[in-house]
Amino acid sequence: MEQFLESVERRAFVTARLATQDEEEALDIVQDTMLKLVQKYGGRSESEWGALFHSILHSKIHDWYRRRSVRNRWRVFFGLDSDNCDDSPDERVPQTQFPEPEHQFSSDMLGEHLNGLIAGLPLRQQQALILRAWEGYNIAETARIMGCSEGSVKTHYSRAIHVLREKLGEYNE
Amino acid sequence: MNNKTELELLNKVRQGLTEQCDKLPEQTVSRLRTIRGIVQKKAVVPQRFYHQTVLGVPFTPVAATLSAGILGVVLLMMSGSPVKKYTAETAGIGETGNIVDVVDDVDVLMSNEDMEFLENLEIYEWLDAEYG
Repeated sequence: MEQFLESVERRAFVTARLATQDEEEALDIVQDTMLKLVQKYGGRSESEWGALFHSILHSKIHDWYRRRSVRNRWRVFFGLDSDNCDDSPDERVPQTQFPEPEHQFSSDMLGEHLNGLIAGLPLRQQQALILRAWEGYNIAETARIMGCSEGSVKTHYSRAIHVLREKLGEYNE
Repeated sequence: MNNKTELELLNKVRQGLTEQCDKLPEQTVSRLRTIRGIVQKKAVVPQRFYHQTVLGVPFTPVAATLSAGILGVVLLMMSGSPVKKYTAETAGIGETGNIVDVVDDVDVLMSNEDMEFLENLEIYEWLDAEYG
């Protein structure tokens, strides 16, 4: 288990940070995920750990979004300062930081820009993209991890690719 | 988008995300290591607890609670009714019977009776025995 956690902790952190845009929250999510896996599913076979871990991770990220949405709704209700993040996870508007026009195109910059684009994707699209493209899960596995139908995964994934292509097209022009 | 372009895009996505992992600051990596340690420690304690056995039976909180409950019921059955049966002897007031017999020390202490009544209890007992 120790080795497994070591092998996934960085990727889990990057995934959580992309979703939350906050290092502390990402670390909390990673800790909760590891704890739940070890305590509840430690007895399962090693081959199941990967899917279980990602399932817990994405569920925790989703919970984090829900909690934040509720918190922000109450903030708005009481007239407190809101960071305008009361949108639902599925409908979050991409907020991408584009580089200054005078910056030259380079591979490094493209990488950074791409990360910014992924971070700006709506949560479900982001999850589908990360699980399919980075973690290498197939559609059925991704659907099980995300807790939705295979059709939904295909839709989210295809939209994510479409957005990335469009934004990268703008960037390259 | 054709397949080749999509493949290139996905490769870039993978590359970008992997780079983020590789470029994590040492401080973050160290905190992740600490978290892993905490998780392992937290996970070990309950496992040890659950793996204890009593007379070959796995000891768990549920089993312990059930055992305690069963033991309690058996003890109650062995000792008879939990409600004390008041008799003249148990009340310590002789063989007078009647209502005075059931007056228990606890009842006296817990009741709001007038103290004068309690002080003259013996007289009432005698009256009850004589004329009741």
